Amino acid sequence: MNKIKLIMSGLILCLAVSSNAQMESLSEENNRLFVANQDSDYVSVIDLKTLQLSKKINLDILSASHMTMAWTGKTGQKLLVTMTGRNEVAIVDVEKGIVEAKLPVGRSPEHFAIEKNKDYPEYFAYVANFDDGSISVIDLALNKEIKRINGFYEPHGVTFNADASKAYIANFGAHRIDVIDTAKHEIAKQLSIGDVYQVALKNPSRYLSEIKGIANVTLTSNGRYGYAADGDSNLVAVIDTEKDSIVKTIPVGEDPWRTYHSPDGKWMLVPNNGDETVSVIDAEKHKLRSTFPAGGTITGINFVLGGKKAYALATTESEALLHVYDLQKMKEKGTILIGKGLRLETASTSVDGKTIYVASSVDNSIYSIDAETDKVTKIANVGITPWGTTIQGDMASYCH
Amino acid sequence: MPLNKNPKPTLDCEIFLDSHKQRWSWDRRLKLFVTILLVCTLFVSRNYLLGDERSKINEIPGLKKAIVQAIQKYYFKPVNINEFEKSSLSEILQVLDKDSSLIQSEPKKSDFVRGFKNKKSIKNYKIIAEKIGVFHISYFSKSTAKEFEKIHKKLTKDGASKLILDLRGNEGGDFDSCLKITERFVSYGETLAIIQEKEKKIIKKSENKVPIKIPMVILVDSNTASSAEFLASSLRKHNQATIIGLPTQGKRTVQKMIPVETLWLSLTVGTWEITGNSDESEKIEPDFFIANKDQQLEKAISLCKH
Repeated sequence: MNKIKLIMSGLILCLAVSSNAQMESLSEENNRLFVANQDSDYVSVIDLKTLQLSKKINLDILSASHMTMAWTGKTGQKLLVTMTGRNEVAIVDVEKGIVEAKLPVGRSPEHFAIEKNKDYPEYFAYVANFDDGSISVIDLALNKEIKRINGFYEPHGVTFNADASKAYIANFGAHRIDVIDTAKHEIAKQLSIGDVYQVALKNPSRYLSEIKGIANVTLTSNGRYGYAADGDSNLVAVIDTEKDSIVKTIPVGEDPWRTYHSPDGKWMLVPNNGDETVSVIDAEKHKLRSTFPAGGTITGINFVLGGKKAYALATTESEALLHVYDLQKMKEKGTILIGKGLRLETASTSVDGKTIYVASSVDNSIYSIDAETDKVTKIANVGITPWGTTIQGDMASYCH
Repeated sequence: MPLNKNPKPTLDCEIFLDSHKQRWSWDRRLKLFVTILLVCTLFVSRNYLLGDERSKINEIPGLKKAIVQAIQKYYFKPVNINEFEKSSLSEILQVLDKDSSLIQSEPKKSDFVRGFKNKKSIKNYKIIAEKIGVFHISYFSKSTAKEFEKIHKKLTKDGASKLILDLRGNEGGDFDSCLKITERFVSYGETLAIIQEKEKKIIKKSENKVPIKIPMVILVDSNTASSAEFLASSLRKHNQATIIGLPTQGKRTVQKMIPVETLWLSLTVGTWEITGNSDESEKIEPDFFIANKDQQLEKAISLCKH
């Protein structure tokens, strides 16, 4: 009996050690900020414990890198990087700090999403090739483009539904969302937002070059609805993700960019760069709740402290700043000046939701902002023109 | 070198014969042959490629169906859709009016892609002599009406009591934006525009209770088209504006831009009129026909001063 107890205790101890090791490993993965630099030939890795540049992952060539996203594969942490200027994506082994594969894709790959589902138990990515209107389907276990889906108008954002059986492709060059069946990698449905616009001009191509369509579809926390802002229509469409139909449209401000959802599932925030406001939509009732004042061009919104507070990244003609919104009191708290003559691009929210990391492209820096104190810490010289940032398992990261 | 007004014919002829012999040396003949061969190759390959493009368009699955559906729904003239069944896509497109076309859009570049920077469509606004406000609308974008409000406010604040509106080179653009600007000058209840669509005539009335009433001169040229022509002729009618320059394009149609299988169908959905009796391709004849650009502006300033 004692022997059995001893064996059981040993087993429990082993499990505990292994579980602890796994947690530490997870924690390590979640403590790295990856930064795609537009004008450097490497991806920067920032250690979030020390706020130091810990590694440069060499891409060998300048490629106007746009965005990265990390996942844990069978052999450890991996990173997918869009090399927009080279029409390629790179698959990186983070631990070894090397590029495993470079795959040619369509023209100007920018944004993408990574998932796995019942049909593809290994991770796969949908990469939106902006300039040739296609989506590259990448099998991340095989490091191979397995299909290219055509038929899009400047595909911008890619969003998988909860079980990754569908992908919503936002067309920035049209007022349309395409729904892809991920089992077949085929367009299953198309949803139009807004009216078909009337023009009276000699050369219609000029009008097409000015369309501001849909940048992204953002799912509610439970995945039941998708929110999509249409830039020209000044409205947000609410999509029923079971039926893939538009159940409501909500008028917002002028030139809405895209929607950002709060982690508590309560709010969708929409920066309107035309009238310099931020619309607050109740994500449960699908109703406009409030409109915050803003200013400058807003390139992204990050929620912190479980959704009680939000930062909007703004760049004016003379300075870069953060608008701070209190979502409990539903009001603007003020602004935080990041610097004169700077330009903010994107930001990631840490896994615990207590810090955001903002890419500042002009001074080649990342700024860390503590959500409790609003204290700003500069991490200088991370790379030239830092752009997309990401942390594996983060509360939010996005690109533009 | 001065021109030789009295050349010696014999000598000239000799020189010509000499150079002629040189020109037709074997070397030159070979060069000419190669050039002709190259031109022919380019011509044939271009036509082959064009033919290939055309057949490619005809082969895009669902394209013909999508275009026929759009024509049935929006096209401003009655057409017999049943006749399209046996027609090729190229034949269907030939049936449409000259302002309807199938186009391939080019991707947008730089920051505009992200929707973060609007190009300004109103340029060079300033006050010149004797409180004359001048501004140039180069194009009608979605935000032009908003830009106009800001600029009008600024010019008024700076003391402008007369306006010169430069629409030279303006080929039109967003029709709603153009209507909004026009409405700023048209009194409440007056007819703003008459738009003839497929099965209905839409009469738009002004809802502006505080119209801008200010002496105006408008500059136009042969590139002024569509929405810009609408604004110019509307301001002449409602605001007694004087038009200076050259006859305009004469494009009085309105299009919808319809996405069809990765391409765009620019389809005419209606025609606009100011008075209710104008022709669809009627040009705007200026009150003062002046071709020279500088003289156009000088005349406009002169009219504003008096």
